[in-house]
Amino acid sequence: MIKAMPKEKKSIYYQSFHQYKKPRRIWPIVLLCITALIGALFTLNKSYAQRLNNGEISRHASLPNEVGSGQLFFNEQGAMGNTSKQPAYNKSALLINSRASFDINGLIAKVTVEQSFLNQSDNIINAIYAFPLPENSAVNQLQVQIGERKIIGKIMEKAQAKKVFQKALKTGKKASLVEQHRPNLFTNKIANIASKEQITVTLTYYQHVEFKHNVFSLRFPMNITPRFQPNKATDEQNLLRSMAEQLAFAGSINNQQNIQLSIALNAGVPLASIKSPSHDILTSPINQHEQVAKDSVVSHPMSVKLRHGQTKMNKDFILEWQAASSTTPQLAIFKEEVNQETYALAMLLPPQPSPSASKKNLLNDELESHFTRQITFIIDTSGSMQGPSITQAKQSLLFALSTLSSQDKFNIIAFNSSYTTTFAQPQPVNALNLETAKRFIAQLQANGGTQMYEPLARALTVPQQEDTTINQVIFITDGAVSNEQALFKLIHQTVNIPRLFTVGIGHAPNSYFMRKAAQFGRGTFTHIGNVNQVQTKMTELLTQISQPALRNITLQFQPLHLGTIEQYPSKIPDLYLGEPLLVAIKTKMMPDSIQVFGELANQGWHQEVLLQKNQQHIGVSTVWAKAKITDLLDGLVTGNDPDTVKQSVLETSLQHQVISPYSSFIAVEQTLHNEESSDKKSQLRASNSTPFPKTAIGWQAPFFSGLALLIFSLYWQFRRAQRVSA
Amino acid sequence: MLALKLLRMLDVKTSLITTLALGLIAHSAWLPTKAWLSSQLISYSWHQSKHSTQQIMPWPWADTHPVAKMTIARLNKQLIILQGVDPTTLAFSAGAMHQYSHLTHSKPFVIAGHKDSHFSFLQELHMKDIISLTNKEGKNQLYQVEHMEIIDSEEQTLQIIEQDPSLILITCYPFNPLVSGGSLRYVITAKLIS
Repeated sequence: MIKAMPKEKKSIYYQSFHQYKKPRRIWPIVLLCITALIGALFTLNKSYAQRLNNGEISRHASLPNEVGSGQLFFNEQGAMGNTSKQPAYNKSALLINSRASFDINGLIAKVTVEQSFLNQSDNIINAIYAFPLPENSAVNQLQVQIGERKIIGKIMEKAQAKKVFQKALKTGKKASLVEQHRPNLFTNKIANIASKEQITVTLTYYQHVEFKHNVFSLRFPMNITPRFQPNKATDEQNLLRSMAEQLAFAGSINNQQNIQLSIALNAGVPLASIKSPSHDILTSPINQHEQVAKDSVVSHPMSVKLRHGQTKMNKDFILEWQAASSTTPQLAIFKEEVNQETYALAMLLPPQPSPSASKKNLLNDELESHFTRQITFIIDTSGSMQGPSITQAKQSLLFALSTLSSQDKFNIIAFNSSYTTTFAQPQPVNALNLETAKRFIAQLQANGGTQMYEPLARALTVPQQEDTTINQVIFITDGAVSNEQALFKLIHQTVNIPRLFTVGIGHAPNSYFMRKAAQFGRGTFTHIGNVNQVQTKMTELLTQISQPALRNITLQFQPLHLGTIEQYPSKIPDLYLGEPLLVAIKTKMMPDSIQVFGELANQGWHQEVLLQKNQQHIGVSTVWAKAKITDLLDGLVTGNDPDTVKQSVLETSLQHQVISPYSSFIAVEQTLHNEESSDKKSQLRASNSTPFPKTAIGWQAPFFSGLALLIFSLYWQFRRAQRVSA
Repeated sequence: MLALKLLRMLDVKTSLITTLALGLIAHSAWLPTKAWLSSQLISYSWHQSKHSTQQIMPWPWADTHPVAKMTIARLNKQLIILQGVDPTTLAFSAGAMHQYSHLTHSKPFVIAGHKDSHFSFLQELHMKDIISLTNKEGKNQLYQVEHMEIIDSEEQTLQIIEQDPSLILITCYPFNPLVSGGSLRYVITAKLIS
């Protein structure tokens, strides 16, 4: 190497080069390695964090809903002198009897669970009863019988519940700890269960029946999958955590135990099949209604039981039923009379394919009578959409374009502080226009403010073409708006409004605004929280709205004058394939019949259902009350007086025993009990689970390593210069 | 003379490293600088909008606006809270979640901020500290720190009780500057006291 170097010119530079040859060869390499390492570390760190953030939502969404079936966990007070840090509530009491009955009316099921446990030990025990609730359900009745004692759960006004609780404490009664820890786990603490005493827990909740791919289904959790996340690391929560960890062991005991199931199924429409993919079942018509309903269109209520009377509690019970095929929509009316008022629930079922026919056939048939559509897409390109949100939005839009049919017309509006449209007027779907639209989408970038009034106003006032054309607006946004009021007003006041479908993008879209806007615009709200969901969610939405099965739906009652009629939703949306439509009504007098009118693609449609005097469908009033409470609470945002709203919400909540923000679920012991109660007050409250935002820039580490690197290189150069000059 | 000498000393490799170092510094310093600069603009727009009914944007193309001012007297700290918790907004200042950004007696107020810029002072917050929030209309509410916890965002979501009028502050954890992008979150709950 030295040989290869020119020896003639011995410049200072050359000298220095040779003098420090050795260290120079090592240091750059070391330094470069360090830099590369730091660089790699940060890229890795960042991409890992990103992955975490992306994965967060999907992981939460995919968490199983059930913890297990109803369980009673206890700790033995006498045996607490244990040295180990074993959690207290770690054994499950002997379950001696379990029974569950279901009253299914259309899309609601009232579920009553009755379970009896026995304290096998020789000690007095404290226990926690835990029951995994299905999604979208809340307990509204609870009764615990412990020997002579009785604990009854009720929904009360918050302030009153507090008073009752205090009073119960003073008088030596026991108020029970009733909490819904996760939205889907119900727990109830029961203290002082004597040796060999029996506890019977009766629990009632309402559950929504699932409807997917034209199959109704209901699931009752009986399987053990120990998952539990305490919200806060209080002692109580720790106990519950360990309790949940112990579920697996408890499960092995429970698996050996039996449960009886009885189901009264009133689907409201003629059924093609009833089956259970999980268990062996027997079905039979419920006799008393058989003759009455023989020649009417109303289907027979069916009774479903387990073939062997009971079953081991080792897997979830699933019941599925399917309506008989029909080419037109079907109407079912459910009715309940409470306090001389009539509550009715109208369920419109879209046309059903026959189980053997494939989906394609249905679509082909449908094409004969086709509504032509005029679709306006509005896409939010404001600064808050930056990052994955705008990517998702663009993807959804491109996907949506690919689903348009050649008879449709379309336009795209993009907005931030101002708005731009792809075309001046909606254009027919053809290759050229699609190409233009794709180019338009490709150049969209997220920055600027959110001024959605004007683009929305423009989309909503697109002139209606012909009578058979339906106008649809698909609004893709993260809903970061502040002038909600003005927007609602706009949507509310537009005459002949197109159907408005809102698509919420990102971690925390303003779902209130979007749900409400869709409701006013008689459409639906879809939330896409994760890039991976774009395809499925958009497919679902677009297929569904591609063909309305029935539109301009109105209700009529016979006789015409029934006094005040309260109806939710007040604006009835269109009926789409694949999703039943529910309208809840309250009337002072019972109508003789309810008629529903609507428009099919090529003709009018109507159906009438006669109401029977002595027929009760349990749960109808609850559905109505829930709808009313939601409606009243929404009034808060549109500027209604908070006190009036609170008053009306409370009234409804207490009368129908439906939980609301102003009421609490409290369980109080009914008979006197001598011992001091140590239970803390607690209330069942609606809690909202939200994913965490990203809250770190991560600038310090690269900054300081950069600084270190700089100092080092300067020092190194300085040293070199020193040596050279020396 | 010395400078000239130094300049002559520079060879390609060392200057490459120096450039790299400077680049790294500039890149990482960009966000905190932006954070600092924007907070000046934001506090200006806050003072402006306090006297008007209209929303005044901190800068014309902003996609967010100030909703409240947070004051912690003990730490002599003031911060303007923006609307929204999307990454763009959080780069400018701490932000309030859309559905929980109204100062009322019946709903929670939830604020998130970066642990290494606007919300770095959360590590100095103690139990029983008083936090004051003032909205644009001049309405003021006092909160007292009651609860501090570290939550793994991979394992659980944030549970917000809809009708609990608490103030919830969220930032990343640990505050150690060398760790970032982890899943831990520092959550402070302060109860409404007035």
